[in-house]
Amino acid sequence: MAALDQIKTIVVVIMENRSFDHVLGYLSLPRYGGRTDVDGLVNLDTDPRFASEYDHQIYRPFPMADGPLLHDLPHSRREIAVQLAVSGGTPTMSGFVRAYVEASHSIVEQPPPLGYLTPDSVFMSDFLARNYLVCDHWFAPLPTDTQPNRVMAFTGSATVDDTKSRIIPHRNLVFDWLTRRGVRWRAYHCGFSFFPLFGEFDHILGGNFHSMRQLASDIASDDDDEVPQVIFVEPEYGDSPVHFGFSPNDNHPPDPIGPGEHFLRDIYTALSSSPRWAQTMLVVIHDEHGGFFDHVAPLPVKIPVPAGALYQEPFVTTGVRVPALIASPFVRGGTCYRGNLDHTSLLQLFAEKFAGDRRAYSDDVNRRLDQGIESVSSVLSREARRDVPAAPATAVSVTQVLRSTKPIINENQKALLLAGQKLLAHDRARAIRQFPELVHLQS
Amino acid sequence: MAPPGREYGGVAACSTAERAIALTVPLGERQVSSALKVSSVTNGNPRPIVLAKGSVRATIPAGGRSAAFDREPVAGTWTLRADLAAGESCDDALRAVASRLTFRVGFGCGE
Repeated sequence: MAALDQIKTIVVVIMENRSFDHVLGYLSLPRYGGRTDVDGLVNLDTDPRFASEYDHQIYRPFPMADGPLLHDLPHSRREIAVQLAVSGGTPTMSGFVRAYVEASHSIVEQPPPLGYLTPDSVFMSDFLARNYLVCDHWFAPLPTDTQPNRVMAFTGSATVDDTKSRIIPHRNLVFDWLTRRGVRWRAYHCGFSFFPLFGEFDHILGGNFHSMRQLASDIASDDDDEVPQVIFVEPEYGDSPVHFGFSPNDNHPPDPIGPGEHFLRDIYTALSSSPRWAQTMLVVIHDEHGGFFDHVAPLPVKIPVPAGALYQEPFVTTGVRVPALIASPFVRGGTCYRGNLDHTSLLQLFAEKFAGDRRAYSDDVNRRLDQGIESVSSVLSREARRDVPAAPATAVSVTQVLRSTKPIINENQKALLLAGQKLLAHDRARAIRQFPELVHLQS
Repeated sequence: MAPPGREYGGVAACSTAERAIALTVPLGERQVSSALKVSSVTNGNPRPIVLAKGSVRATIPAGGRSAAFDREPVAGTWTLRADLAAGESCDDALRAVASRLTFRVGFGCGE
């Protein structure tokens, strides 16, 4: 039986705003094992691919300890164009410092976008990389920020090209697609969810959304005929308008990455300690690079502006590479997959698994498939392994995010606030039962 | 111990007619003190470059150093040129250097 047939549950975790080189690039450095199968950091002092230029001065990546940054890094569509620094039609990936200086008006010897983390800061990602599989050519679908890339992950189509306070127009929402095919799905959230931004509030309040606190007990108690076939696990978003019982663990700068590493450990531990792990696939990705450097140019993937989209200029490339890790008995330990993937690779996977045809999700997804974007099923090995590596007990210094009492209000915070208010207006009693923190929102 | 220094450069352009990749690097007060003098120049590019500043010009092998600019002011306009190999296209040459040319200057205050 093919590996994909043997997998009964696909678990998807989408973290926020980190690049591949920033989180996992160290895997290629000699002092951390020097993996030659991973396209990460090498010869940082001399390799031209790692030189960022600003004002004719060259800046190179440097090791960065985890901790809060002074501020978020630039990563809008316009700012990413500066980072890619296209020359002669080719992204040179040399403009990360320029974009940072233009946004922050700060010139420092070690600009934060060039910082890379090391295993002591990313103990859980390091564990997954060493014991399971790294995808080193997984790209954000679009060279822009959070909302468009998450919309791509959940619909396959880019109806927006920026992050704004609004309910997002969409088609082919993954929950609708799965429901139409009778696929059991569930979403686990820490605090407030991203999905209310799609405005389909009956999905949110319809019983498929559970608190992250229930994940381990659900896995232990679900009967075979109720086990979800697809699970989305959401972190506590730093941009959430209210926090209640969870502190941000989504990896979004300026917050540190440590809490997100603990979040991943909780998920892996819950899944891998169940007998159902033998039939499970855990996919951990980041929605976009968040302004951190990466040396690999985005892929040339052209997509027309879809009908009803809120922008005019079509996208002609993917976004920047993001960290992607896959844990399952059906991947070999300590390996790397080099094929080209992006968030729509998940939708191909669902189509392949639940409709028997990887082209069965949508024309939008197929357009990317035809330009070389593969299905996640490409990473699976035929033989199942029997070992279940235990997650490390390593404590990291940063486990919780301390927030100021008056956080900066950015566009995504405004959007989540709007979605929370609309969800309350839709059905206040059920909304507060699902997301107790919404009681603190001013309507 | 290596002398204090700094790497300069940027995204270069290729000319099919000139059969070379080239870059001009103007260093003014914003980047460097006028008091700083060159103590060494290193070519970190993966191919030889011709480096020039004013009347001084030197061909430096990949990874090599030159003393030709010693005691020259760091400030001023530097030009870098890397010739294409026989039969090499601009696209291939730019790919080989990741579209960048850089050089590293060691400096001191001189006398």
